[in-house]
Amino acid sequence: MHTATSDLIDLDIQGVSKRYQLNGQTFTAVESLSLQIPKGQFCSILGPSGCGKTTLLRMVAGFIEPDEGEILVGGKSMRSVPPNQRPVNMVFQHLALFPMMSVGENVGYGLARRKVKKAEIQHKVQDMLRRVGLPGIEDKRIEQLSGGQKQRVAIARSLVLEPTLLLLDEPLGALDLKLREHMKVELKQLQAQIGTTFLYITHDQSEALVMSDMVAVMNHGKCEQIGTPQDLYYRPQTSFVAGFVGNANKLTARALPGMTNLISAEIADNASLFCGSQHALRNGQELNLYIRPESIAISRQPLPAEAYANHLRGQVNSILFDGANSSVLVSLHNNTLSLQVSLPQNGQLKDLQAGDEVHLAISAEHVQAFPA
Amino acid sequence: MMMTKQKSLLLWLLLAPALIWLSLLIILPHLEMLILSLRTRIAPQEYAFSLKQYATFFDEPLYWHTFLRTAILSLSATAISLILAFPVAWYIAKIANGKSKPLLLAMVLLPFWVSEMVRTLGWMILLRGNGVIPQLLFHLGLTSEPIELLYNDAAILLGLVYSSLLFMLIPLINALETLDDSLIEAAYDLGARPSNIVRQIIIPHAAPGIAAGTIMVFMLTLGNYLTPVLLGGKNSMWFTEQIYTQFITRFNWEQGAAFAFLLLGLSTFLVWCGLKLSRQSFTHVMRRT
Repeated sequence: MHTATSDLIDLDIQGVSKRYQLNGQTFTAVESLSLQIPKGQFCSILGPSGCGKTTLLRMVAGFIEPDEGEILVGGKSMRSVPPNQRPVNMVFQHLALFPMMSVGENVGYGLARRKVKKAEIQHKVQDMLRRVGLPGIEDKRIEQLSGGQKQRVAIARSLVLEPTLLLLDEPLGALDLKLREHMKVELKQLQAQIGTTFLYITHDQSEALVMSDMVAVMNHGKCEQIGTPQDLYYRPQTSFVAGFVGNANKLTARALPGMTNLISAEIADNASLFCGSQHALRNGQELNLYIRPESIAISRQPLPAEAYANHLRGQVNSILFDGANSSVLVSLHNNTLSLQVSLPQNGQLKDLQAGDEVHLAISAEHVQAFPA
Repeated sequence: MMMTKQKSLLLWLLLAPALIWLSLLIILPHLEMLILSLRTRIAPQEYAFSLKQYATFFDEPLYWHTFLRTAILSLSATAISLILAFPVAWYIAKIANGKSKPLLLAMVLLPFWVSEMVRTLGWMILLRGNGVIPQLLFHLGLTSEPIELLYNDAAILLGLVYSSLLFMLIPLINALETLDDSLIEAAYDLGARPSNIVRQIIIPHAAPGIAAGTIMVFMLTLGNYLTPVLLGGKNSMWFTEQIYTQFITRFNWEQGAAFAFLLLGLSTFLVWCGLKLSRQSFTHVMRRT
């Protein structure tokens, strides 16, 4: 696996597996997973809880030894290297700041363990705290800090050791919503400014999409798709990714013989949609269709027939007002189907009422079809 | 106005049992003892203020030797209890899983269902010359004749540590259970060696528990009477024994009271020193107990 670019790959996970014995049953937490993170990237691993992402992170940190496969950090194998000797540092889910020490002692802890001279530690700690935007708080106690400050101290404590790779285990999970939104932007900027490779674990797709250069979506111990946030959102490769990343209406359907070069799928009796798919579909195959709420055009008047492949008529069932994210639930085909449709941002349909008749239109490429 | 009066009356009523208990059983007897210790009999039924009792203590080497010996042995017993209890507490608090934890705690507690007297007699059966251990050693050919393991300082220490281990374990388990495992992992991740983690993370976190356990065990051993007398025999030279002798054998209540106050002073002083040395506050420690 050593290619010419291997020195530009900070983390190289090669076919790693981890199994647990639980009440006599074997449970596979991570199954032959491979992942490469180039230097300086902000990479997220996104997946629902229990998908094995924390196990993977702990294997990279060295707290768990993989059953199979190899983990290379900065081109060096990490097999049987204990956590205290890996060029990897971790920001814990609940931060794990040492309450018995001051902020300065916390940030300088790793340096002191490396037997760095006191004056140099002091200098580096000051510098690091300045870089995370908290100059001069060395002498404060941990319990005097706010949630966001603790967050930055925890990151400073790891970054001061100049690790090849920084691991972050859902560190924003404990913060309230407003602060979390703020820290997302701040973390992304900090990473861009410092240039350390970040591996960020989260179950929150918005965190992953906003902050990352690349995202790996994990499910049942396997990697479903690796790509840029845009790739995942606009070109999901599996049914799971289409459903997990972003909001989407999910419909079950059956593939019909293609009329033109488009595939059509029957969504209800005598109703079908033209759809796009990267998969070869057989006639009659069971399908899952994913349609993003914002890709559906909505209007009181019929929409131009030639602009969209699919046209539907329905009745507004309820209005879900959420500022810029407002949407409506539209019932179709005598209430057998319901679609969530985003309202246009220009406020055209702000007077829409439950019970109103609306016209919907969707282009074929926005109906993503996957074999069920 | 009526309400506040009623409320304060209620408060006093609720406090009454505790106040009565404190004043009748603790403050009053101690005041009486203090007065006893500071008087001397000049004629039948006639007493005068005097420090003679306290002077006797310093004049008679036997008394202050016993006093020092009791203090040193108690400190040793406390230190040994701490060293023995720490790994056990660590195992119960951190390593034992859901099912085995209550079982282990029960195993620690079980011996305390038997009275201290019976437990100490059990040790006597094991240690005395024709008891279990000396006979076993003799029959295995390790000793040329059955040796007497009772009636020495080691036997006293053994008995004291055994009888006070529980009081060290419980506060230590409580303190260690609240330690977040991720703190240990974080230190490990930042390059700490196990010895660093013990010194810098675990012990500082457990400090209030260590202080609470140490204070309890020290006070219990210092004031213990039964174990040193039974396991140490006639020459155990324990200070509580001196107090007993003054009160019961010599019927010199004044001298006994003075000794009792000296012992109280010693334990207060040493506990204060311990708290100062470990930079713990008394209220904080009591909250953790």
